Formats: sequence, C-alpha cells, structure tokens
Amino acid sequence: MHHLTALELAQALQKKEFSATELTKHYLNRLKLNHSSLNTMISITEELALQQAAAADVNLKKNKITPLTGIPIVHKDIFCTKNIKTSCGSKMLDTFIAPYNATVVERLNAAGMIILGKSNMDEFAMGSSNEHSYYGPVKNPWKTTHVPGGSSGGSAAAVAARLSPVASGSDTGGSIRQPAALCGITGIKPSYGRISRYGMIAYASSLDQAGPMTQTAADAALLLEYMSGHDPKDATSLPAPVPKYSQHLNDSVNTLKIGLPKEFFNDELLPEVQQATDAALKEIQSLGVKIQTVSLPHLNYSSAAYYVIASAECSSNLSRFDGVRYGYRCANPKSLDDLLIRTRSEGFGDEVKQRILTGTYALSAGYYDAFYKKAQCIRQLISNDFSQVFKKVDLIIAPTSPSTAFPLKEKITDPISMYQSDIFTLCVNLAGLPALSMPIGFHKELPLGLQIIGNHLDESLILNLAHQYQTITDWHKAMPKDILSD
Amino acid sequence: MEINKKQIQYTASLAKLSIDTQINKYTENLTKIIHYVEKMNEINTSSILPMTSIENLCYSLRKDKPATHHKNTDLMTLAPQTQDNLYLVPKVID
Repeated sequence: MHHLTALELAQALQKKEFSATELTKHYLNRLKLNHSSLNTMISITEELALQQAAAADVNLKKNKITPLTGIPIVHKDIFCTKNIKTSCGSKMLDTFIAPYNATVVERLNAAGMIILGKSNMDEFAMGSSNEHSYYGPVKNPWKTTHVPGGSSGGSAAAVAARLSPVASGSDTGGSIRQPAALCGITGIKPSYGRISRYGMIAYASSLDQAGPMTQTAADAALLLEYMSGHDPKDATSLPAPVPKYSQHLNDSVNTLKIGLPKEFFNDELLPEVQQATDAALKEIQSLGVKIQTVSLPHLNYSSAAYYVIASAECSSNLSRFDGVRYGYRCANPKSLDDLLIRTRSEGFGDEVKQRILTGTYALSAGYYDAFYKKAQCIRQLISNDFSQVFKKVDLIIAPTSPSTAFPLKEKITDPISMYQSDIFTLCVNLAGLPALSMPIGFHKELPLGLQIIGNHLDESLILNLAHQYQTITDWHKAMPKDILSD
Repeated sequence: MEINKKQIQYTASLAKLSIDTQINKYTENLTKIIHYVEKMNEINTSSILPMTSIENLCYSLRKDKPATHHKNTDLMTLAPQTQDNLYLVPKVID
C-alpha cells in the first residue's frame, strides 16, 4: 500500500480494495517499525488515527467523501492539534497539549484525513538540517549518516521513507523546499497569505507559510486545495478564491516562458547540481516551454536581509514564552526576573537563543535603522527584481539546494555555513512568492531537487509544470532501499 | 563591527536570557553573523522605502465585534501554576 500516492490510495479506498482502518494500521505499523531509526516522529497518535479511520470508513460506505477521505498524514509538530502534544521541537513546549486545532489541521480533518502523528522538526522552525530538535536529529532515509534538511526534516523523511503518503510542513526561508530536495520528494510553499497561519506556531510572521509535502505534484495540488483559503482568524490570510489546482495539472505548458536567473547559475554551483539541473531543463524544454536568462540583481543580499528580518521577528514572537501561561517553567523561581530568565535559558536550545540574540541586537536602540530597516529596504529591492522578471517570464527555475544532503554534525558549529544551505530559497520568502521543489535525480545516492518559482498566487502554473515534468520522468517514484521490510 | 561581551550581555538582558556559561560562543557567533549581514551596506537604499507588506496583496478585516474562540477555563489548565483562576507568578511588588 505504501508504494501508492495519495491519489492512488484514494482510488483504491473508493474501489474498496482495502478499508481506511486497514490502511491506517499499515502506516502505523510502518511508523512503529521504522521511525526510531530515522527519528522522524515526536508523537504517534494511534488512538486518534484509528478513531478517524473508523469515521472515514463509515463515510466511504455512505459515499459521503472528499478526494482526501481516509488518507493518512503526519503533521509537522509546529501545527496545534487539539488535545495532542504540540512541541515545536522544543523543551519549552514539551508538555504543551494544544487546546485547539490549527486551521490547516481543522481543514484537513474536515476533508477526512487521518493524523498518524506529529513529525520532528528543528526547534521553532529554526534550522536547515533538523539537528536542532530537542528530540534529537532526524536522519535522511537515503543515507542515515546524513541530514534530511530542515526545518521540516521529519515530514520530509517520513514521506520519502513512505511512513506516511503525505505530510504538512512550514517554510520561512526554505523549510519545505530544502528538505524536500534533500529527501527526494515534492513540496510547495504557496504565496504568503494563501494558507492560514492560525494555530501554526510563529517563527517570523512576515515570512512563515504552511504547505504540503508529498510524493507528487498531483498530490500537492490536491492537498493545497484543501489547506488554502481565507481564514477570518488570520489577519494576513488572503480573501482571494482558491483555484481547483488539481484540474489544471494537465493544461498545456508549451506557451510558457521560463526564466533562469544568472545569479543562481554561477561558477560556484557544484558540478552535480549543474548537471542534474541541465538534464531537468532539457526534459522541461521537451514539453515546449521557452527558456531565457533573466537577472535578479540583488539576489546575493537576500541571505543577509533574511537573517536580520527573521531573527528580529523571532525575537519578538518568542517573547511570549515566559513560563506564565503555558509551557516550561523553571523550578522554584525566586523573582519574576529569575522566572523569565531561567525559564527561557533552560527551555530554549542554543540555535534559538542565538537567533533571539541576533534579532534583539538588530532591533535595539541605535541599531534598528542599520539592520532591520536596511534589511526591509533590501527586501523591497528583491521583491522589485522579481516583479520586473515576471513581466518577461511566467515562471523562474533554479536549483533548490546548493548541495545534496550533508553529513550529520558537519555544519552544526558554524552558523554561517548552515545558513548557506538556504541561499536559493530565502529570496522567495522575502518576496512572498510561491515556489515548489521536485526531485530531478541523484548524486552518490543522494537526491537533488529543482525549484519552480511563480508570481503571486500562481501556484496553479507551478503545479502544472511540475506535474508535466513528472509525467515524463520517474525520479519522484524512487524510494530508499534500506527500510525494514514488512 | 565588533561585538564585545558587555554588548552581548546587555542584549541578553533585553531578551531575558542568561548566557554567561557560553558567552564566548555567543559573542563569537553574533560577531560572525553581524559581519555577514553588514554586506547589506554595499547597496545604497537611501531612496528605497522599507517593505511593510507583500506587494499588491489586500488583507480583509473582520467586523469590530467581540469574538471568543476559547474558554478561559480550558486555557488556564495549560498554565504551570494558577490560583483562583489567576496565573501565579513570584511577587512583583513588595
């Protein structure tokens, strides 16, 4: 069963080849057998999953279904799930039982999906390797000595190893796309505001966005339809209508104009990334698209701008963790100051503390203009660059990651080296644009991904091209070999 | 721009963090990060307005009416210490 995509599973359920309960038990068994060797999960929600599966079976019998009824999912542990531990990968929330569902979770529950569990992640979504979790690092299913990417590393690894057919993730600077690329799966970060952030624990509020992580663009399109849409509980949620993305996957792409930013394709690109990208571009060209070189002149400043803005916003967002209303509290505080300082120092990991310090520094008196305001001006320039390019082309293509997955612990002591893992993805979040990563090959048995970036609310076009590529290639069907057989 | 230990201790105090046992590591890392982001100064932004919202996007506002999503009693159960439906903290004022 686990070799099937979500769409194939839905068809099989509707044909009664197996029940939702049988399917759920199959994935729960796979999770229990395999997840500890990869450390993909923080919680497995067996009781809830079986309850939801039983309800799905009733609906399948009555034919009161959606295309997602009975399909299992793991949710990144950044999404509040009612009455279920929601830790955000942190000691600070190790005992936090969410009192409500995030809107994303609520919508997918209403569509009939089955929650298998909560996946491991970099603490408070800060990281590019899933090595910064309170619950230990996640391992890449293709090579367990290597990272899966982050911060949605648990979700990416779970889908790659087929421990769940699909997963939810979040992306602030590349945290869906980069682990999708490093684990050989498909993931899309939609336009800022496309999916409600209500109940998604905040890292950087002007950059965060939820999205699906799947085996195929077709599965991503289906999940995106149900995840997206205006939410009155999120003031940054867009009122724009949600297209039926899955109905546009087979639209013709032969009139599309694709831009390749020269700043992405420079001499520093590793040969294996260049070769895989060239091969993918050749396949894409065979679909009839026209390719041209474009320029994003301020691209090289996106990393600097991102780390100022994201750190500044995180320092503000994480000030809510004070040991008073929820979460971790230090033992026997002697004063209010002692409560705050010891709770936060003991509850946060080192990377989170580093980013809070960076953000606090950047926002402090005397430095606000030099750092935060400067970064927001650079951000405007980057956004303007994209606007200019999208007057000439429909989509932009770029590598997702500068390399394949790196070994565990290789970059953990050098923050700048780790930050370089996201150099191709950060600019997209700064401009609030949608982008997808899909698998395009392997190098030394590790996957490589390609990024398709669209203009605001052009998710349909991105998914259309990605699906067409996946109809003429097989990279998305590959599954790691070294998983225990059942 | 060099960051000295006094500056980082002040920053930590603003953020309500204690970093004394790892002050060298945080000072070194913050210095590296600040040097890295100072690259932004290569660009003249004197005529650019800071980006305050995503371009061309329009957010909708709801009606100005009270809305309650959660019961107070449900939320109080999440707190480490409470008394008489109030959050309990160390004494603030003598």
